[in-house]
Amino acid sequence: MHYRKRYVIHKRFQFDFTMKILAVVFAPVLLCTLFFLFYLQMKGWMTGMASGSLINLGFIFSFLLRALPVAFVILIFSIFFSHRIAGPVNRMQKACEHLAGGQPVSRITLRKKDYFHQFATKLNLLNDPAKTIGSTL
Amino acid sequence: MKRMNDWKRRRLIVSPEFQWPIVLKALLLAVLVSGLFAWSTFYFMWKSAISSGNLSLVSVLFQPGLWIGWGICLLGCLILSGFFLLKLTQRVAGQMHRFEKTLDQVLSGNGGKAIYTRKADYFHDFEACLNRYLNLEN
Repeated sequence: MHYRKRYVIHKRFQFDFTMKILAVVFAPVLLCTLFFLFYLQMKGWMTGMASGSLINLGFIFSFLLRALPVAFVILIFSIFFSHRIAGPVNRMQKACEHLAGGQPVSRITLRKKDYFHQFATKLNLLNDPAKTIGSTL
Repeated sequence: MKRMNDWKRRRLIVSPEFQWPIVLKALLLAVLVSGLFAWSTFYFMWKSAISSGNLSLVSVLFQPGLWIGWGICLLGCLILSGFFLLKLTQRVAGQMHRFEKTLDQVLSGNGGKAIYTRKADYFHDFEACLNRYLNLEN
């Protein structure tokens, strides 16, 4: 059985992936919140009911207070998710290093939820003396 | 003769079974978080309007224009985010697709050609490894 205990395997990919997922989730949040405040401010000016800016220090503080735990959860989610990509790639890379070095390679077994199962199957076939693609596909 | 399309990645969706789940899950997360923040911003404004006695601001919070505009804003963001996510996943899926094609060639006995992927792709170590193996095979 193959265990992958480290969650950060490919730093560059996982960092990039995590930051981009954070950006994708928080961009709509920021823009929608700005629209929300802009709309209220506009209506407030039009009706003369707004006595000051709605974006005050209290609001910014409460926004950050809400954003930090959410960002942390997304960070964890992204690391787990990117691990499903980086883990199999790392495993297959190691197998490939052994193959390139002419060393014997143990069969690649990936987790059920991992990606690239088909690729791993094909890489396993390289160890097969028959090396026939039609036998498994 | 190999067509150019086999080597170049012009399609945004290279591997739907890999790309779509990631894109949809991230977009679902974006919708959930946006909804949560909209609700909490609404609550913050409603509470401050009530405490300051500004009841006309409360009525603005229930105007359909606010929520329709918010929905349109969210939809626009989601479309852009979806495109961005497809580009992100294509960088992984495209590279793996290229590797898989080469493995297919090796397995079918044609011998794979050296792999060259984009500079912005992620798994260059794996690429170098596969190329070393291909050199050994050829």
